[in-house]
Order: sequence, then structure tokens, then C-alpha cells
Amino acid sequence: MMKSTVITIGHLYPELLNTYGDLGNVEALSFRLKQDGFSPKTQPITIGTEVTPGMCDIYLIGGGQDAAQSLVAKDLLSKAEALKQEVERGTPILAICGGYQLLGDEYIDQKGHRHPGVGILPMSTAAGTTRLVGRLLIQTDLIPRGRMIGFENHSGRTWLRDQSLAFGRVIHGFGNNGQDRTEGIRFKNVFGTYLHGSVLPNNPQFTDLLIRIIFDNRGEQPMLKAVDDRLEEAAYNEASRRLKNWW
Amino acid sequence: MRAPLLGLQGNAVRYQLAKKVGRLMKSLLRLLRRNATSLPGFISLAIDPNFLQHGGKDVPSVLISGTNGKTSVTNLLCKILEQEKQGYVLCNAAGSNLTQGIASTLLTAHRITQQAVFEVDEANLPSVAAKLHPRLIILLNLFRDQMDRYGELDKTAHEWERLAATNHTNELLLNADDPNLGWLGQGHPRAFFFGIKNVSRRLANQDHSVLAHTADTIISPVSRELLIYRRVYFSHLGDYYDPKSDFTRPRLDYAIVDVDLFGLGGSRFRIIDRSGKEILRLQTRLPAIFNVYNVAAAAIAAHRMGVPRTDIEDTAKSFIGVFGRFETIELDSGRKLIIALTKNPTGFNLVLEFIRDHFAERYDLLIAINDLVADGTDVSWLWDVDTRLISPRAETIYASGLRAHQVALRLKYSGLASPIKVEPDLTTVVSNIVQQGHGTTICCLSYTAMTKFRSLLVASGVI
Repeated sequence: MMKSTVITIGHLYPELLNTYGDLGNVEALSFRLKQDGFSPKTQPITIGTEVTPGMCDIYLIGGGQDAAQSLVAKDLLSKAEALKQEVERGTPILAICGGYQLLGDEYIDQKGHRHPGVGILPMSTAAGTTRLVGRLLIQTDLIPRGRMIGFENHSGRTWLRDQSLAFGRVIHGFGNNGQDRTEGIRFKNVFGTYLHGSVLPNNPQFTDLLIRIIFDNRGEQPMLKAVDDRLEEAAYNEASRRLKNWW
Repeated sequence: MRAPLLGLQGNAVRYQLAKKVGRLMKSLLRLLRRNATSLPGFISLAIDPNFLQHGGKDVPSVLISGTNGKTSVTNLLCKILEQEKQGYVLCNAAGSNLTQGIASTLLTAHRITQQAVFEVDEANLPSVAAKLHPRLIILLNLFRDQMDRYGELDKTAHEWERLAATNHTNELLLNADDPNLGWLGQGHPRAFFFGIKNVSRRLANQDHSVLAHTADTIISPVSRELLIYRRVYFSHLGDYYDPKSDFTRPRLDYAIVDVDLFGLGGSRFRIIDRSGKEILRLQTRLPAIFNVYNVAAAAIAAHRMGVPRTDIEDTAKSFIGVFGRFETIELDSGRKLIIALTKNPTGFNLVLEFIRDHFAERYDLLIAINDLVADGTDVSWLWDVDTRLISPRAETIYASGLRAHQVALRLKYSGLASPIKVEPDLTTVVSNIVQQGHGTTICCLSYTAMTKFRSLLVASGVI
């Protein structure tokens, strides 16, 4: 009989980095954990909240508007040490868009001013003058399906220090910078990406990957139930059909 | 012909040509029964890029913009003005709120047209305002909507700020309860603020202290720190202050007081001026608190334009709203449809909350979401809709539209008990509801799904 293990999902800045539907990632993770028979618990972490090692099994950080991100950037620096320790322990982090950018080495704004990032991810982001917006389809080796689909909306162009760390390669869309065809990053167990959609509900194999990492870290090998993903499949196909059509 | 004369003549000739061709195109389209409402305007603008400037010279205009509510406010204000000046008021239909659409509408101005009232898309407002030199600009709110078009909410807010800062000749009527608007009106010599001052005791007992998840602007435009709310009416509208600066909700020139909500029956409230004198006593059939703001905006604008009090109050009372903005359509034998436009999390949450609080009966729910340009091509926003608000009285939920499966996915991950039926084809869904539905069906539709829905209802003889 399966114990009802409590899995804590750390949701960073839920009220500030909340403008792109990334709440769906928290929901997807919770839903699938419940289906697998576990007890997911969401832990909001915001400005002033202290992060302690082992506090959460996974951290999610989403995207937000410029003003909110500036506010978060300041506070994130105070959490940087703790988060770095978590990364060393192999704790998975899923960082979307603005959250992804903030975890890098630095962010260079429109005026050319350099703002330090948390320094977890070996990459940096520079603000662009145009926005990279649209449906995004990537090829990726992270999941059996080999593809992930979503939507991107960012003016920042991210450049990886090592392109082999890319989360995936762009098939349709812009990805990290619209030039080198890389999208996102996977570094240790930190996953950064520009995929909204939200990314986890629309790419369930990715959710399952994160869940397996969570349990690997706990030294457990739970039997993940075979899930009925037919609706996710249909949603993926529906999104694919909409890739090129804008009318 | 000498050069300067040529220039002058050239301008006038261009404008006349643009007008003639545009009108011709309009008649042609009408003959062919095509619905490209903005095409004539597009052509006129192509012939004369200053078409709006020329056309707007003879007709004083009122511009209305904001994320939610533009269409209702425009419609109501038009109706109020029409009471007095039938035939003299020119209004644009929803869907004609971009520059081309407004140009198209201007084509129908006659010699006797005395006043134009236009709803204007948020991103187009600054340029349209610069061209038309309106006598009044009404700004309702700024929520997150169609992020793919606007990039970021802040950007539109900044552009509106610039409009207010560089232009002091237009009168502004601003919803003070939205911090973006409270901020941009500060120091403007002709800005007037309206907002909710208090609600009835009954309403006051509800808990207003918690901000909904979709509060977009909770950061002070001054200190860039979090704003604190003494009262939240919905989303980020309320009575706020910045703890790190002296920015606070501006003093209300027109205060909405004694608000009482009666569910589907509408609402009642009064409007008082700075001295406390009652200006208007309003009653409306439009439900929910966001319509209090809408009706107030139209009523106050009309008051400022000199419309007699009774005319405003009578029109507001009988106003049944705009198609699809929480409209009830009776089918037969007690069956009915309730139709709501849901195109962003704020609006959607409000609709769901409203249903949860005011619907005692069981009902079927239809959610149809498209992702065409007019709907917003990024449907990520669906994941910010609080689907836990869907009450257990929802019997069956139908997911439809171009992103029917995304809707179903959203619902699945909410863990709802009601069965979910996916049927992307809206024609099939409408046919089923009209022929076999029982009781009440509540329809939550994105913008183009709404227009399609309407034409299907017309085609099946329901309306």
C-alpha cells in the first residue's frame, strides 16, 4: 500500500510573477502527483520569505511584467545562496521566461545597464527592441516524445555560454534569441524555458520527468501510474494545427 | 496653379476622394452582404492618411477605452445622447474600435451629425486621440488582455501616461479605482476622477480584503513597491495607497455610493459630487460590480455633457446591455441562454464568481475559446482563470472553439466533478443546445467565438 507522501511545491512570487498563466504548471504538477497517489502541497515563497535547504521538493518560478520583475530581482539576490545550495542538492527548478532570465548571470537592459542575476544558470540575457512573440515548437531529448509545444512572449534575448546545455532546438518560433535556434536551458536539475502555454499541462511527459527527479532525490522509486494522456495528446495536436494559422 | 494653393487644394481633394471611395466601398459591401466593417476605413486611410484628422474636425468626439467595458459604456452613452439628439449621434460598433474601424464609422457621418462616441482599442487610443482631438476621453481600466498584442500591460499604461502628459487640452474622465489611471491623471488640469466610495451595508459584509490571483497592477507606479488596498472591489480596482510614497487613490470628483447588487437583477447606486450633493440616482439591469463602473462612467460623461438628470437615469434603467455582455436569451418552455464575453482572466473569474453567487439552479456550461488575432493568439491566460469558481451546480461542461482541447485540459487539471464534453465545432454545439438543451446554459465565449455564436443564433431563428 502506498504511503501518502507529501511533496512540497515551492511557488516563487505567485502574486508578482503571474501574468503569463504559469500557474498552470503548479496545477499540472499537483494534479499528476495526486493521480500518482501522493499529497502535493504548494508553498508560496515571496518577498522576504526565507528559503531553507530541503524546504521544497521542487521550485517553480514564472514570468511577469518588467515592474514586477525588478522587484523580484532585488529579493531573489537575497535568496541566491539558498537556491544555489538547493541546486547543488539536485532539487529541480522550473523557471519560465522572466524567472528563467533572473536565474542567469546577468540581465542587460535597454539602456545597456548590467543587472546581476542569481548566477545559477550559465547564460545572460539582453533586452531587445522588438518582442519575440508567437507559438513555439521545439525538438528536445528530454522526453520520449521529442517535442514540446507552447507560446513565447519576451523581449529579452538569452545567450547560453554553452549551447549544448540547451533545453531544446527551435523548430518553429524564436526560442532563446531568435538566432542560434536554441531554446531554454537544462543545467543540473534546473530547467529554464520561454515556453508558456502553460508548458507542463501541455507537455505531460515533462511533468513526469520532473516528478521522477523529485523521487530520485528522495531515494525512492515509486510506481508512477500509467496516466490517460489522450486529452493532452489531443490538445497537443490542436496546438500543432494552430502553429501556422493566425486566421 | 501655385504650389501652396495646390497643397491646400490637394489636401481637401484627397480627403473628399477618400470619403467618396470609402462610402462607395461601404455600399458595395452592404450589397454583397459582407461584413468587413473596417475595410472601407482602411481604404480611406490609404488614400488620405490624414483622414481621421479631416473627418474628426467637423464632429466633436468622445473616446472610450479600457480593457473591459468599452462596448457597454459606448453603447449606453450613445443611447443617452440619442434621447436628445436622434440621428445626430455617431457611434462605432464593437469590432470597429481600431483606427480603420473608426475611420469606417466616420464615413457615415452626415451634415447633421453633432457628436461622435467611439470605443477605441487600448493600443490605438494615443494615436486616435492625437488625430481626433476629442472633447472627452473616458478611461475605464487596464487589465491583462491579449498579451501577445500588447506585450506587457505596463507598455500600454506607459503609452497612456504619455498621452495624458503631453496633451492637456482633452478632458479626461478616469476610473480612480485603477491605480494605473489614478496615477496618470495626477496633475492633469482637466482630469476628473470617479470611483466607488462605499457600498450598502449588506454588501459591505463580504470580505474585500483579499486580492484575486489575477490582480495585475499591484505595484505602485511611483515607488515600484506593492500597493496596499483598503478595499478591493474586484481584481485590482479599489481603494489603494502606496506605503512607500504619497501616491494614493485620488480624491473622487464623482463618488459612487450606496452600491447595492441584486444578482441578475442588476444594481442600484448614487453618484455624488465633491460637496456631497447627489447628482444621479441610478438603477441598472446589468449585473455585477464591474457594470456599476460601466454605467457610472457613461452616466457621469453624459452629465458633464449637459444631459438632464432624468434622461440619464431613465435610459440607464431601461438599458439592456450589449449582446453577449451577460445577456439573457429566452429560448422556449423556460429554457434560456446566458451569454458572457470571457477574453481574459479578470472577466472570466468575474463571470464564474457571479454564477457561483447568484445561480441557485443547475445549469450547463459552455466554454468556447478561439485563438484568432482578435481573441489573442496566446491561450496561456486560460490557466490563470480560477476554474475552482465553477460551482458544483454545473451539470455538464462543453468545451468548444478552436482551442476546445486546451479548455478541456484546463478543466481536467482543476479536478472538477462535472463531466466535460469536447466539441470543437461551435455549429454542432449550438444546434445541440437549441434542440436538446434543458434549463439554463451559460455560455462563456472568447471574442470571435462570440460573434460566431451570434450568427448561429440568428441563423437558427433564436434571435
